[in-house]
Amino acid sequence: MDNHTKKDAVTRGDKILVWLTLLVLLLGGVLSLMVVFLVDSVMSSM
Amino acid sequence: MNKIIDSLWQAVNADEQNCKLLKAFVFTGLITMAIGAVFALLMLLVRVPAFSALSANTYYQALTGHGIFMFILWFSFIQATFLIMAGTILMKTRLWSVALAWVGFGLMVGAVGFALVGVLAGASITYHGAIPLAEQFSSAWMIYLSFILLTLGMLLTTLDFIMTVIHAVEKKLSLTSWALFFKDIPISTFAAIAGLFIAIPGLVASLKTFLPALLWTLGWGDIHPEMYRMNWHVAFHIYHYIPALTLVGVAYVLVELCADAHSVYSKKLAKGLFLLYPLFVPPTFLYHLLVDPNIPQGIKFVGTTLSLLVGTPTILHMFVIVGMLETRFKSAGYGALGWLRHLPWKNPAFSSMMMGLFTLFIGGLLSYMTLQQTLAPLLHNTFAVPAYVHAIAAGGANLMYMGALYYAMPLLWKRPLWGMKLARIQSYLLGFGLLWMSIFGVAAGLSGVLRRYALAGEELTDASAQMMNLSLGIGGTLSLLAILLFLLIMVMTALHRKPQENSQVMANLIPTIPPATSMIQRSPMALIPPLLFIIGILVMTFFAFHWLRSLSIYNG
Repeated sequence: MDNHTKKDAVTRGDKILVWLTLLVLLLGGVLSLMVVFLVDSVMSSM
Repeated sequence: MNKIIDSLWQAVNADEQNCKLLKAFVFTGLITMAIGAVFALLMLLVRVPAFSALSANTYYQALTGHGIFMFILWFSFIQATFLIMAGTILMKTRLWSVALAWVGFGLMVGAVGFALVGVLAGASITYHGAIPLAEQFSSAWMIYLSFILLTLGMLLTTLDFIMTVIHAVEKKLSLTSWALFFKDIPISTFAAIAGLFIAIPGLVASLKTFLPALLWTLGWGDIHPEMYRMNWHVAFHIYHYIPALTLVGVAYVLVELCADAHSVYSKKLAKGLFLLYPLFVPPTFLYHLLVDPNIPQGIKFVGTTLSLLVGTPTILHMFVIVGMLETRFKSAGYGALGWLRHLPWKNPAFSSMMMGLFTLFIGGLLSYMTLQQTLAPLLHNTFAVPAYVHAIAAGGANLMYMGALYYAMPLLWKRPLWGMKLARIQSYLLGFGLLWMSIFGVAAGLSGVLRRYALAGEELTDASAQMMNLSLGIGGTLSLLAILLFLLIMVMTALHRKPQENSQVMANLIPTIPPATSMIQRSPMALIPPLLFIIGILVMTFFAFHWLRSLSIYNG
């Protein structure tokens, strides 16, 4: 954990994992928050 | 000394403040478990027809206490412990702010206090805190306040973890730095990061649910019971998937600690599988509400269809974890089936993990019956639901956490594990008791026994009474005995000797597996549990619909 400077140790796959994590977590987070906050209006409209 | 255990020992000893914090979380968690167990005993004394020793009022009070202390508080404390461990000991770094974590811990202890006083003062509102019901109990506000304090405490602990992660990355805006960080961190720490995006919305949902409820009980606002119910289920749905994710993260640590097994598949694959949870979990919350008459059939159909996918990430992880064991033991020279016999079954942490996986397997299969849109309304309010939930939660998650504590207690308290022989039988006893309770409990539910209802023996048919005697009378009692045994082992480990300053205290937990003599890269046997699970779902669904057709209401 103490040395994150060796660029040659990072593969394309490692970078894809970062982007994938960011994408999925943002998507999952937004999806969850949408469920949390839109549930009231869905219920009210029924 | 084992390399992994040695490294954990050094990490624990490198930060005394962090060690104190973790001990406080574990100790308080065990207290909540003990209180939850006392409430479970009171419930048994009412609901087992052969006992029928206490009043119905005691039952509802105990039901509220058991749900809150076992499922909400014990899980919250132990999961907060694992979150801190994932961010410190496993990453070999320091917590961003120990003070912030202590504030979070203090709020959570406040939650324990208010919950206990609220339940003892008679707020029998179950952990749902159902709004029409809460009107009848003047101390109901304490339960809502307890949930809010718990949420705030967990929020602070989670924020501390997030800051620790950000702090550990050398260049915050560099893709390469993040890529190296994700590459270096253990699978379990990555699981904790993936879990954040369920945890944060879950905590927000919790505040959104319980804050208006608290204000309403104090006479400072109005509340819509249906809206509260919907919000509660959203918060609860997200909350009860935290154990699903945590138990898998813990399993990855345990499989390395107990069996010296490492993934033959890319670690990136295992980490990537955790990213499926944030996608699969949020849209499936509707399966809790399939019984709700206010929700249109079309929405229920979508909910039940999505729900069938909810186990997918866990099934895939099980393949990887069992594959780690298979390849490690085959690499040591054991045969195609012989490796199963040589697994460290006498290590209590390993047996906890395996019994946890097995109870999760059975509980998961039973749960698929109640995910069906047609069956949910018939089974939702029967004893079948708590029966299978106990196999999943008290079994799958709880046993996995106990397995982790078999290592964590000697590590944190620097004392050898007390009662090794008792520990060896404890996990098998708990696993067996819970499976017995679940299988006969589902049978009781199918025969019409209601959940959350203090049925006395004389109100049940003979067949139903028999099922309840078997389920709770035998299975529940054995499970409770196993819980008490676990608490005894933990308390004695913390007290019975003076702390030692070397990692020899872990000697009896070190795996003694022959070194690998060949490189085995494939794990065909690991495919069997996931395939059996899928076949099991089909069999359970067939059985469930066969049962449905046999009901007189459907036969005319």
